[in-house]
Amino acid sequence: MTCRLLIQLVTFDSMNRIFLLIVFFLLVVGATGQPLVVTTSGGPSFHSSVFSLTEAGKNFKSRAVSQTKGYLDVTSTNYWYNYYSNYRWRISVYRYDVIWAQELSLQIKRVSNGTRVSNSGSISGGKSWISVSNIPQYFFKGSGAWSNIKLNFRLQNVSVLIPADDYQTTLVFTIYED
Amino acid sequence: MVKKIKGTFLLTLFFLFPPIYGWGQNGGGWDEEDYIDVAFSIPEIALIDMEPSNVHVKLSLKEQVNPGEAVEIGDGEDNSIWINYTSTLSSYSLGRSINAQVTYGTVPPGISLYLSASEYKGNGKGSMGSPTGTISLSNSPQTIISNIGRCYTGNGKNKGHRLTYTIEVTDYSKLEYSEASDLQVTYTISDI
Repeated sequence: MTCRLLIQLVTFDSMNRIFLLIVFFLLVVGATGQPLVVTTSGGPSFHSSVFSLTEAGKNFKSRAVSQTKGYLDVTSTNYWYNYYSNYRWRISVYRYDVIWAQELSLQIKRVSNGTRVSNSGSISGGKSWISVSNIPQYFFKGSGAWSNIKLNFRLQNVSVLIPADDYQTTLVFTIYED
Repeated sequence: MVKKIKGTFLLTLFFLFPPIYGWGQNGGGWDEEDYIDVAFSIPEIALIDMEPSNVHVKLSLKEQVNPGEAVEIGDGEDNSIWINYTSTLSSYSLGRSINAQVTYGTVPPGISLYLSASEYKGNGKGSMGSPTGTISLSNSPQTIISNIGRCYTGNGKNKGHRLTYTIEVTDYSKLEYSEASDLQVTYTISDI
């Protein structure tokens, strides 16, 4: 009888331990899991006049600023994070080329903070033009959740010496824990 | 009973609050990506113009005073005009050339009207064309500058190639007195 009771107690304790371990595991994963996502919208467009000429002998203007802007949202599907958390993050950017001329430089900068979604947070960096290369590089950083962080784009070294073609590249934004 | 409650609790945690532990997000790691596409086109462009524009070239023979002597050339040469051009090409294009031809009027009998282009001069960049030498202008197009790549000559006088027009009496038997003849010379830049 005593032995049977002991076995039951041991079994009960084991179950409790397993239960507590699972709860602990979920809490730990919840605390350290990725709550943030970066979402893009909009993007650059360059007026056709950038690549046209009316006077023989001239070159294109070397610099062309995008007519339209791009936007980044740094938010989370985690309700609590969106409003109460203050995780620090940083954004990196690189260029994934489909058709591109190495002479061309695609530059980007952050022109506004957008709107803060969380109760607290900050954004810094990225306010000066940087040339986006094929290697990920730091763009800007911040904390908390934000929407509509406005970006501007420009092309440098535009020239008639670059082969005529339909150029296409993709800007890849990655968010990391800072 | 205790087990059932625990099971329900765990299932609730697992399925109803996935955001708590990041389930459903990209890989569950601390990196997440999104993209912005960038696209634009650089078109093929071929432009030429003359500098200064709307200039009339005047060439003439002197009036013959002494019979038996060769006809003297009056204003026999003009090199006041420069040709500017801009050329963009795809990677597959072979290049361009500039042709000249008389498109209005005819060169008077017994006279040849010659045209030549100088070597490139100016502050442009790129693969400039090469002069082909002196040509005798006619109603058929002839190349005066060839092998033009992607380039711009610079805009204005003293940039590009200087054009030189000259006349010469080539057949006295066909020479006739005539009032001034107006000719129009047209330049065309085209793909090779």
